[in-house]
Amino acid sequence: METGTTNDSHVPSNNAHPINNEENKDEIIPENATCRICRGEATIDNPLFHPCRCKGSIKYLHEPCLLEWISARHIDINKPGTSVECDICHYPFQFKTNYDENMPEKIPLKILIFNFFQNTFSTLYYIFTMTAFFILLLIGLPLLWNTFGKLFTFMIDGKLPYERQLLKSMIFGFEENVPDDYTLVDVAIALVNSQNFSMMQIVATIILHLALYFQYDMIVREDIFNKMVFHKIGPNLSVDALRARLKEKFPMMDDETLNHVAKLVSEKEIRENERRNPVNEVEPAEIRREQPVEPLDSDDEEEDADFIPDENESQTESEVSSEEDGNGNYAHIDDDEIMREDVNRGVQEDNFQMNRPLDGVINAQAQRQFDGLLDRHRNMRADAAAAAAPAAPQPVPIFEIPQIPEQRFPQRLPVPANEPVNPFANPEFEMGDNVNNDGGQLVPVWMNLQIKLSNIFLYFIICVVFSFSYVMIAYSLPTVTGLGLIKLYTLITVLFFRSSKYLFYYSKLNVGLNWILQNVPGLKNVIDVVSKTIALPLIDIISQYLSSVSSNSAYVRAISSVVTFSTTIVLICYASERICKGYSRFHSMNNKKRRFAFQLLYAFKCTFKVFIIFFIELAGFPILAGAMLDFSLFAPILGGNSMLLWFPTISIISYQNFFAYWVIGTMYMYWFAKYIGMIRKDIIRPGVLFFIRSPEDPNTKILHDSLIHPLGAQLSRLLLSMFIYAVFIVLGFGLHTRVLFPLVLKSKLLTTPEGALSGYFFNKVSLLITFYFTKRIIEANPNVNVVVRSYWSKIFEVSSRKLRLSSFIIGTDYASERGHVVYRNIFYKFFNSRKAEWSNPELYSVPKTSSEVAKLFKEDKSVHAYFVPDGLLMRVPSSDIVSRNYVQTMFVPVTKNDKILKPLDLIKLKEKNLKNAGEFGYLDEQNTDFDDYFICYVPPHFRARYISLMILIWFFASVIIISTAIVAQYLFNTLTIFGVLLPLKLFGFHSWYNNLKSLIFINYHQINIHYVCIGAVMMSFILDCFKKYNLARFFRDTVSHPVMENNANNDVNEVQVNEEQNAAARPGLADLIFHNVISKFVMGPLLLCCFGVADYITFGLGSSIIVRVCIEYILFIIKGYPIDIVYAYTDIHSELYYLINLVFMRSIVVRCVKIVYGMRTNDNPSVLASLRQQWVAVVKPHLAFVIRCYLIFFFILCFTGVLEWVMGDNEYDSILDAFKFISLGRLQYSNASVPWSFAQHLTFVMIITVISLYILTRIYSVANNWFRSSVQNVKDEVYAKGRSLENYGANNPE
Amino acid sequence: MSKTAQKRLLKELQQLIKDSPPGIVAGPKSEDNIFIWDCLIQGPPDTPYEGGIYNAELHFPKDYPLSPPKLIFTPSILHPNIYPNGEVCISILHSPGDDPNMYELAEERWSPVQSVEKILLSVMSMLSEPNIESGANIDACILWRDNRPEFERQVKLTSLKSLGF
Repeated sequence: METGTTNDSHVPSNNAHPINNEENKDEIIPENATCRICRGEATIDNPLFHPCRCKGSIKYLHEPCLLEWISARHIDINKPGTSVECDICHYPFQFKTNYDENMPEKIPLKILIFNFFQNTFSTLYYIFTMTAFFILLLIGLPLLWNTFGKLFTFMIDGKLPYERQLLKSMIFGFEENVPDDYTLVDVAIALVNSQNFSMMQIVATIILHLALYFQYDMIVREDIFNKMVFHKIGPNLSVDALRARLKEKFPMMDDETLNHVAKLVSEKEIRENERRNPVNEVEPAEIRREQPVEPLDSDDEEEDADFIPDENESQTESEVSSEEDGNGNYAHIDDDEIMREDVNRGVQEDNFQMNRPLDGVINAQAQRQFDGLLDRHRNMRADAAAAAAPAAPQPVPIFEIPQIPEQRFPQRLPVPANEPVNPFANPEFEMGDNVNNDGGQLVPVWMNLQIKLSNIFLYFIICVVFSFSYVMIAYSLPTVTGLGLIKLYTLITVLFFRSSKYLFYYSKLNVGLNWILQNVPGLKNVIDVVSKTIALPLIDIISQYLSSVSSNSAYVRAISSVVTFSTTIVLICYASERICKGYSRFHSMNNKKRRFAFQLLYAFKCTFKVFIIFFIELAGFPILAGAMLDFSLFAPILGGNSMLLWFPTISIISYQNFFAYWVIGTMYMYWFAKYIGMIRKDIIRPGVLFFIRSPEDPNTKILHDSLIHPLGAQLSRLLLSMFIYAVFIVLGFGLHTRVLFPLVLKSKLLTTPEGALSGYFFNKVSLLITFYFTKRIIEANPNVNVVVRSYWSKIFEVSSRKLRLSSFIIGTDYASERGHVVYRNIFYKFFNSRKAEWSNPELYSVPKTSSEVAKLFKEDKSVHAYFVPDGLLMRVPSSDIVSRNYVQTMFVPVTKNDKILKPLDLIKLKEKNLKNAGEFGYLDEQNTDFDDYFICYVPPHFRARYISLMILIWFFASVIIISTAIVAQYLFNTLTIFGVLLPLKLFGFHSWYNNLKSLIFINYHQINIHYVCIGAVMMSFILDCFKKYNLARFFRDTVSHPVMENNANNDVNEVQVNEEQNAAARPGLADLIFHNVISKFVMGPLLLCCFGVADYITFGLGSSIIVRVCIEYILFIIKGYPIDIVYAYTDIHSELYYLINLVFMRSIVVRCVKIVYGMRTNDNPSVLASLRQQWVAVVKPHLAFVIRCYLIFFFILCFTGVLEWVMGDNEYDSILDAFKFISLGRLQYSNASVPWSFAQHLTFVMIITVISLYILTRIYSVANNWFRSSVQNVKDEVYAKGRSLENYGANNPE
Repeated sequence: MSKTAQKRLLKELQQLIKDSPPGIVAGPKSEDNIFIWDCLIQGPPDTPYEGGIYNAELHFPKDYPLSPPKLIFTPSILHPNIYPNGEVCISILHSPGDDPNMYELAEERWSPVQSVEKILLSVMSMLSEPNIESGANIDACILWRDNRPEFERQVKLTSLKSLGF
């Protein structure tokens, strides 16, 4: 293999030989080196390269192999500017561009200029296009939407808000207090307001529609939905459907036979159904028992399937009757199973027809619209269409759909694809269409739509037409209808009330009522009190609200359309019920259109149902929790005496406040759930919290559950849990904040100075942010979690031990908990219990009954205490994820041998379950894998004990929260006093000292959330340090051996040595600071901000001042009189200064962004390292530059100062006075009369020269760079001929 | 294309014959088709697979080494990362393009730098340390996580079977 052709004689060629291409004359490639891709060796025509940082056996590769690998990953390396990273070292492979051989040395100027103009034009074009697009989308569309809305409103009203002034009405709408001679500013403000308002509306509408659509989609995809439909209308037994099914199963069969068989089967089935089902509404389970369903094509398997549940059933029944071992656990395996089997089978058979009835509509509609769009689009760019566009897919309607009257289903409208916001409806719009056809210029693609100047206006027009029709359909028509409906409903209500009033008087009920009022003592008073305390304030609030809201408010306007929509929903629900009336599983609906209509309506109905439930759970719940928290926590702490912080008066209803509540509530619920999860996982026995859903529960199928269970039951469940939540929050927090501290303890802890934080939105937001970050920082500290967990496990252990609930709560059985100790008398019970217990050596080992105890006390005077067992054993669930029905059989007393004392009433239980489950209950499949029980000891008065346990837990939670808050606040205050106030006082910053002192001492007695948060962070930091210190000491004590001390007499020495050891073992302070979690969140950003600010002050501010001085000087020379620097800001030239400042500000902002970005992308765990990186990369060069500048100025000043001192006309006492004369106050009015010396002129001229030189060099370097890059671009574009590999380090020595 | 693959496979075979890692034997199934290999993998010590010798087939694509080969245990063995049909699911056998949930890092996936030897070594380490997070056989995952003794018993049974008992 000695094929190396080398001219280098000094290369040892025994074990290595150089393979050279032209560039790498001195590369030595080992003999056994192989390509990492093909494992081949180097040859003359295929040398090895090492284009990345990899080393070792994978260092080298062949160029063709690499190119093949790159092309296999669909990357075109020949395009200029592409780079490919190595898979292993992530270093970009080194390529060099090869150029045409006849490339001229100097690129012709013509090409350069042409290229420059082309680039400039394309960039401008791009910018213009994007701006136009976003302006149209973000401003044009909302304004048009707003205009349409106003137009329709005026039409509904029948009059303009400003008579005969259409333009003014259009601009200002229903705004009041508009002056007659409004200015352009007024118009702009009005337009911005309407844009904001309409943008909000559009976004909300889109979100609502998307939510509804996805909900619908999920429901239709859900397995259980098909089963429910099946339950309602049975299988499709029409001849056509059967034939299709048969065709699928037996593809060989010819059409005639198929027809015949289908007809026969259909007739038979329908007859069967009628025979089976003489009455429509029969309890399905009963039918099942009488007459097993014969499936369509029954075979052995299905008979088996029928058989097994029967067996179960008989088993259950035998258990119910005999109660042999008291095992009633199979109670819930009953007829449900059988029915389920049946439905499953039916659904499988029927499935092919039932899947997603709307698919067809959506697809067909979207397709049609998309095609129209595409066609127009094509016409507009006919130049490239033939080459670029793939064949458009033809619209293929899945099956014929009766056109839905659109005004009845406005919810369905946004799905079609003519608005660019919905990419989901047009899956056919492939990326393949986005080929660039403008001579290499990339067309920006946004949501699969090409953004080109010609297209934008087309899209815009489509959007306008769409929004016009949408506003008409979703707003104006429902409003008109709603107004009519409201009139109708009022009429009905009025009629009802009138008739009931007549009935009331006619039936002489008023006489009876009067009689009751007069003859029942106290009733009148009660009614008086109720009406005064509840009804009147309520009416007051409502009337207050109504009077404060103008009739033109959006909420009031929305009422009528909301009425229409809800009427529509009710109609849909009613219609779906109406259509399927008379049909059931056994009496199936065979009309195809009717089936389709039912499925559609039913899907809508289910969507609304699930939407209501989800909305309550996801939005209503958190908002309520947030409001409760505001009432019980935030308002009393921060808002002084107001009821609510966010809604100080009832008339202010704004979405920001709802959003704030939602955020607070969600955060609270999340943390509460985390806390419950911690307790469930680490502290208590599994199965205690079976009533709170566990995230691992296999039985939680949210969508499934909310579909199956009746709406009423679910709503009542939701209301109940809402109520419990509210009680928890209001009692848990409110008792402290509203009752205990202000009223009982008269403490001033919770009274902030009036309105300190209530007024400003910003303050509330900052509070929330502080709170959130504190929580995150503290939670990120594992030691805090350990401490909290150990605190809670101790609390649970002690309280349940005291309440004798250990067996139930913790799961450990203590013998001493199984009863109570009876003492001789009260004295022994309360004052000498320990002695009394010691007097009976076999206290717990020999229990007695209470009658025995009475006797024994009389017999034996020396024993003062006996143990009397009480309570009973109970079955409790032993897992958190037991099924619902199983829980019904729990909490029954059993004997020691697990025999039920009182037999379970299984039939009643089953009936109850059935009743609760509703119509579709039997479809509900519960995972019973984890159904298991545990026999635990339950003391008497179990409920009282349980409630006391809750109260104890609440008490300890309050103790830890309040004490932590107080300690944190005091820690912060104390540290501030000693760390900040004392130095300030010592070093004599008196005004700062006084300000800070007043601030801190005001708040020393009052809780301040910000202080508490900072203090809590400090506490967690201290805890962390303490734990680390302990750990280090532990290691020192156990791992390293104590050093033997020679000089035993010298105690001091020994102590010193020990301390040194301690110090060595103690983690370093820097380590603690920079490797801490807290530093990650606080210190790093803080230090970086300091960097940024310092940089700004030194570089930006400093240089801008110098530049300004120079300008002053030039102006002085020109104008001949000085201008005050301070005064200059109000002068005409101030714009100039602003501009200069702006330039420097821009550089500062860019630098800060760089720093922050670097911090974010840098995932180095140590903050110190990342800081160092920032320092080296960003801050250091700038600071170096700044220092250099100042040094130069300093030297100039020195030079001219000395010059002035030596040569100046004035007499100076010292050289310092000369410096002062040169540097200070030269350009001020006060010094205007002082004659200028030569040295002064020289100073300014030199400074100006230096600065202009600097600016010129900068401009030159920028221009040079730009020129080079454009030349390079031209070279790449015009003369490039592919690229070839290059070795790592060949061109860029690192 | 196919020629590069053949060359490279021959090279790798030579390398394997020269010094093969302990516990691994691999080679083409027949003389005329170098794209299907037979491998014997010894169960790593201190694992339930200890003592078993497992047979696996390597199926190389025609554009090897641009695409990864497939490794199939014949017969299949019980392991969280092996599909019931015997196919092995580890990141090194996934080409860089087809990772739908971006779970694996780019450098963990297939690239031409890898080799048969490395694949077999990773399979051995997979046998000793299953990766539950991206399981291929859910039953095995659950068994491995919740009932280790039963898992080990079943594995022992299959390893006995693999030895012909």
